[in-house]
Amino acid sequence: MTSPGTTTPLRHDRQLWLLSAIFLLLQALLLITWGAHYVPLGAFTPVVNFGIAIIKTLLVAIFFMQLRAESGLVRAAAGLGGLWLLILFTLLLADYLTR
Amino acid sequence: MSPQAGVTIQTQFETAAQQREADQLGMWLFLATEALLFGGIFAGYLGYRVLHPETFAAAAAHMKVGLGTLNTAVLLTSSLTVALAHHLVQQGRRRATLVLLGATIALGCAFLAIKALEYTLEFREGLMPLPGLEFRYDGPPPGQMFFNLYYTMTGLHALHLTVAVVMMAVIFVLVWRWRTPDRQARQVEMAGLYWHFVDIVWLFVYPALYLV
Repeated sequence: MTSPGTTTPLRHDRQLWLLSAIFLLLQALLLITWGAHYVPLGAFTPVVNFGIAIIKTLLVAIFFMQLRAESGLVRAAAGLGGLWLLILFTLLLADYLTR
Repeated sequence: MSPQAGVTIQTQFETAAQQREADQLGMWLFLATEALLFGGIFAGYLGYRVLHPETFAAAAAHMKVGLGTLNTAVLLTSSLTVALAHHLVQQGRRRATLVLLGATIALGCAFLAIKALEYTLEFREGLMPLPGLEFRYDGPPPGQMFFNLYYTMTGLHALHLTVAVVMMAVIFVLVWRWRTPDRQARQVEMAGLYWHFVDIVWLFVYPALYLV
């Protein structure tokens, strides 16, 4: 963390450019999801939709929520939420998809 | 509290790094419990959708995809303004932080306004399965369940966003006063994590309900 009071000229601030680039990427992914809605993908529709949602989530978590700069302990705590959800959905689908 | 390298440290911590990690760990654990709260509703959604894919697609055709997409863009933009606010508050740029926090609050309110417009349109179309209201959806019963899930998921999300907007307004006042800049930086960071989480929930609500 930069100590309060330190200032770099904004146009030379690499973090600022990085965050803006991630934002553009997120909006591009949103356009792709929206566009895909009008293409008949059949059974792949949820795969594409939720696949893009997961990619967007990772971008927000890693760059906007700064997980890339956090300690292993904090990353593990963040990952645990995802792990419990994965267990929940896997067990649920193992039931419904095999009926 | 004792000062260390310009950072205010609460008595229970020895170093600024330890204090920061405790902040982070506590917030992320809280967000994990929130993820499971929404996860339960998504699990219900998933079960119904797997059992009745066609009826769900027919019911979802009543959604306003354009408004849902616009709202996703609004929330993603608000996540950018929060991330920028966090980055700039660390550099002690109070004025820029205030502008970005103000933009975040405005974008959050814009999202809620668009959501309210959607609810109004659905109310007029008779698509609200509430006691005392006429429900004019003519599809089979699982379609009605879709609307129950739609209002539960979007309603709970809107409630979370309302809390986030109020929290950002409080943080805005704290940054405005600027009494202990390093604490304000941590406050923006913690409120920002919650804001991003509410954004992430929407990233899944959007394809689940609008893009079936």
